[in-house]
Amino acid sequence: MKWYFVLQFKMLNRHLKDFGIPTLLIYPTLVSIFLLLSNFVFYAVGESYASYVYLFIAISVIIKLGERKRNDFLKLSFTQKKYASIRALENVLLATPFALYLIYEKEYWYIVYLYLVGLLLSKFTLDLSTSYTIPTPFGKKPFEFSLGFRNTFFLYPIIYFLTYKSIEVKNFNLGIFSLLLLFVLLISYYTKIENRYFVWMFKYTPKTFLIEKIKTGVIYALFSSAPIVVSLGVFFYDYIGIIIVVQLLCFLYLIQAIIAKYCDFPMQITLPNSMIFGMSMSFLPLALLTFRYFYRKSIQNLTSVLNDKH
Amino acid sequence: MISIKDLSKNYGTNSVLKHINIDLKKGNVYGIVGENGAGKTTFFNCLSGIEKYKGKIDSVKNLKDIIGFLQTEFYFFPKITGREYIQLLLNARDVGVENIDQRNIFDLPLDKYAMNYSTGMKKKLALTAILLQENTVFILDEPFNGVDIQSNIIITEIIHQLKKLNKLVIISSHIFSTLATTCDEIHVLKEGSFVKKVMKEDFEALEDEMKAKTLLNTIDKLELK
Repeated sequence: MKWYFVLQFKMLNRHLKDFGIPTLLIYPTLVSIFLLLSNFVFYAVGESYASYVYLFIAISVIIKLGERKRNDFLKLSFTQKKYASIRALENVLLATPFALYLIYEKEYWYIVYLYLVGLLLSKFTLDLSTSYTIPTPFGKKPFEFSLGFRNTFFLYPIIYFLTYKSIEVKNFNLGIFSLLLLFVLLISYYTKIENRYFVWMFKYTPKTFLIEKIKTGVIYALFSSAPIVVSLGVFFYDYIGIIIVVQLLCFLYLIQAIIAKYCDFPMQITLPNSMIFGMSMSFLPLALLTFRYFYRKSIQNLTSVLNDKH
Repeated sequence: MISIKDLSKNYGTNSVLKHINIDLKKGNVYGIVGENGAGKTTFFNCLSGIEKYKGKIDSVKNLKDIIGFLQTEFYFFPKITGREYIQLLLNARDVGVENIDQRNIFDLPLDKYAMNYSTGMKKKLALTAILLQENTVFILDEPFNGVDIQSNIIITEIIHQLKKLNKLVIISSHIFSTLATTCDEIHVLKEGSFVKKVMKEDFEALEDEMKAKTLLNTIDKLELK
């Protein structure tokens, strides 16, 4: 059993190394990101509901360990007793960082709930894959949008509801926030790199390949954001200039994300490039510089796969 | 149509392909056989242009854009339907197909997620997609593996049709009978080099030779008890 956990630890380190985090910085970086995100949840949600939301997030993470195929493998490989111990220990280990943060927030009862639910969940396996096909409006040009939509479809009503709420309570900022939230979601569709085969098969030059990706992305983003932009334009007509500027900026960042996606191809975007991308999002003039940087790097990487060498 | 000269491929110090030379002509079906690790998949990856290599491949301009490549281990996105997978591959080559359902000869459930297909169904989906792309060259890495007998018969017939249509087909298979019924010539790949070229009339002798070599003392080494 010890060997199993040592192996898991080694595999985790390999994943993080592939992401470009130097070995020495792996755990300080992880702890910092975890603290920042935890802090953000408590800050954004507000005191009254933060602990509920935090508990919900922790459970959503732990629940993934109950995935059926993984558990079938464990059941086949270990004795019943060892399997039960592994599952319980895994859930406890994963719950611990959340529990430690809850100590900091002095939410002691939630720690008890968290460990109890964690131990209870170790007794169950979940079939998270569904055979039901979620319909998508983006099927004509499949890939990033159709897949992204299926993974995050439940967020669309929430975002559109925020727009509706902004109109109802006459809060323009909330409306703009819903638009920004939508684009953060759309940009997230471009964070996972595809298998080399799915780039190779295109008969385009690297430049045309990127242009086609951008065209699809912009058209589908226009389609997804239209309900928000049109509603805000009608109900907050006085702010039409701001709406247009924000919309244009969103498109700029979306295009930047599409271009940056291939800057480390065929590998996933590395940490240094993710940081450059993040910084350029928070400081607009930098985006204009990094745009060229990402474009050149992506073209260079795509050339080796898309350009015919025969 | 394709002339491969002195093709080599190394992974670090490990030499996987060594000075491969072969001419491949339109209207012919070529079989590639070899033990696991002989370099078949690497050869296909180099030929298709997915992997870099040393040496020269002379052919038409943009050869990669007319190759339909059925990989032995293909990847499917988690939530893409069979129909969308086909559409994605058609979009990649700017090919329009009016009625995908009509051309779904393997009766695949196209509106279900491809990830949930069985191994054989996944293979049939990938094959359907590259066939609809209207390619001129087909690289089929283990097309018969994991598919049912009925589909094996259909795939064999498809290969015959492709030959009639003057396409170039290159196949690898561990099932010798499937190669014997489809190929014009078979090339034996061993430790990264083509060591033998066998024409149709000598296929039987090749199979006997391979059987004899493979079984020689091999099972005894297991010391089964």
